[in-house]
Amino acid sequence: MSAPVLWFLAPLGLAVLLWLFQYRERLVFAISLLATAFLTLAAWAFPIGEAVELGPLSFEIAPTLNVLGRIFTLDGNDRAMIALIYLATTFWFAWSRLAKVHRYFIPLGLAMVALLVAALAVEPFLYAALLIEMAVLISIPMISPPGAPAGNATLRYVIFQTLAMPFILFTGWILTGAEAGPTEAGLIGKAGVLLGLGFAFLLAVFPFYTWIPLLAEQSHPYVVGFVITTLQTIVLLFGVTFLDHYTWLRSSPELFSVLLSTGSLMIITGGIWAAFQSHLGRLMGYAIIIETGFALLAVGAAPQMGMDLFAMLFFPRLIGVGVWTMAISILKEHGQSLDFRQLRGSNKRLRFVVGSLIVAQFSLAGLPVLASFPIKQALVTAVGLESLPLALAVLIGSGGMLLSAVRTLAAFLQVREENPEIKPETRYERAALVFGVFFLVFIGLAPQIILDQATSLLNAFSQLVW
Amino acid sequence: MLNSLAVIICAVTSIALLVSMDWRWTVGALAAMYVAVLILVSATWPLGMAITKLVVGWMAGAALGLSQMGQRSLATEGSSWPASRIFRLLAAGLVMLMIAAIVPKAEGFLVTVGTPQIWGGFILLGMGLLQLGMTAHPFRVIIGLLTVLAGFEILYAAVEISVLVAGLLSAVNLGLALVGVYLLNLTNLEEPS
Repeated sequence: MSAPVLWFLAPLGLAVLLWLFQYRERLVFAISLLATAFLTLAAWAFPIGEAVELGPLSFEIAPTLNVLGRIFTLDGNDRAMIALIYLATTFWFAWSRLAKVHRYFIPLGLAMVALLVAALAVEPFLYAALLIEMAVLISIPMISPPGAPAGNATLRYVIFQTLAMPFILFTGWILTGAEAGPTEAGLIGKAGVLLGLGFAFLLAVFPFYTWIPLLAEQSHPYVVGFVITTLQTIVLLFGVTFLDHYTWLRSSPELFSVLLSTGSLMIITGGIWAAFQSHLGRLMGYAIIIETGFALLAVGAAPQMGMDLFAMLFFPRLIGVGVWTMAISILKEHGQSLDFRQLRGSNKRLRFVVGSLIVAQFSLAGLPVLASFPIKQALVTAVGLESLPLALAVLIGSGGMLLSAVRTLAAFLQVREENPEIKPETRYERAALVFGVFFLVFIGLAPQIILDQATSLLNAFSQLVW
Repeated sequence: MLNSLAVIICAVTSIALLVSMDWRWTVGALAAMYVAVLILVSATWPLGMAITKLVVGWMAGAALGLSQMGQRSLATEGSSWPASRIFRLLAAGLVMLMIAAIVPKAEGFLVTVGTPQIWGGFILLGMGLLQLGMTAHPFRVIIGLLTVLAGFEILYAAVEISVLVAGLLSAVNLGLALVGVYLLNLTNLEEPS
């Protein structure tokens, strides 16, 4: 067996099977959970390219798979990345029944994740753009299920993600030429512009991010949270692969300046817009935009701080967005509107939901004692040493996010009367929310325990040393 | 000669895709556009491989056409005739002018791509983007995306001849068409629980 078969083809095949059994929702749920948990454990425990002995059983997971003359490779250095992706998927699937998502979610979600893992494995790595596009197309029925006409957000999502693919593929061709003769400044400049546009579309960078808040408002928040965070996690790793692969790219100071400026711009614009939002779904969309901004900032600050902060951001982001989407999905499920102006006394009946939502918002805003704080604080310090105006922009953006969290809290507290029509959370819902909040607080209090592990994600990028 | 004819077909069909209000004409123009794509791609690819572009394009068009059976026209947005068409034609003319300005510069940059391929590719890219900028209708959006991708594939065929990439691009084209069919029929499908 080879690693790409285990972590890409097998889950893809399983996704097809689960699609066929989609009406047996409990069965699909149980199998998907077992499968993703197994794939996580396998990535964590089994070395790739070495003999594995399990009692009397001995086998080896080969790192490569040849498909139509091209190679898919997942080696030992990719294990942390695969483990992170499948661990996150396990949690998204585990909570999906509580979030009351539709029956397309698990089969299509698994297929999407399998394709995204393939995107990280394909060589030449530029072909990843095609596999990412296929994952995007598979995600459409998830974010726009039958029953209602397709919203503008879905169409914009398809357009922007599809437009990214040609830019990245074409950049690859130019970069190959530039690699042969990196003194060709004009060629490198053109490649940089095309690459920048490709990633701007893929990562929904300013000003191409309008579809994210719209989508978060129009579609099921939990599904949107899963699709966007999973996609962006892979795209960010894909982007870092470019840096790892091309020496002239990572030795270009202009690139890092552009990343710092773009990241700051996303944070300040996202933060300011977030401060004026009155819909919890849209607000989540802006929080995701701000998180992407921080990820770009972390890559931009790499020459000063290394890539550790970039890797460390993944856990707080995934848990924060996970808890947020879970909370608002339960809120919606209990008949509550996500609009501040239409809240009907849920603070009394849905204490756990409201509490965990506020904690998730504060965590993503970078409040002390919560998960994102140590990393964002280090990042702002690094940016401040490079450029004070940019650090100020980041602080203003974070302030906007913080203000939106305070506004959310105020909106819930303003409604004093208890609404008996709203059912309180079930104990499973409470347990899931408490579990998420526990991690947000735990990482904030003892960041080194989990975040040091996160840096093993960087094993896959051997050249990224500053 | 054949290549020049293909460039003209690209221009005519992409303008037809932009101004047509009847889905039958749109699907017909799409089918003709893929013939031009085949001609331009076959300059650098073996005919056997190039023909996949035509087959996939026609399959995409057929799928989209089938989803429109029973519909009379696409006139759902700002379709006050003839103003809308005149506006679209003028916009198309502007895009063509822009392409005419860009192509000579692109020839120096895309050295491995032939001049007709650059013309054909840029025309489809430009007109596809124009289409995307002028609509919020799923059918037109997918047609716009297919046009953009067709333009890109003409240019990319000159630099990449991998079977895997050809297969994946075909899958993306078909996937886009299927997504279009899905989005056009959302209200007719069974709601998932």
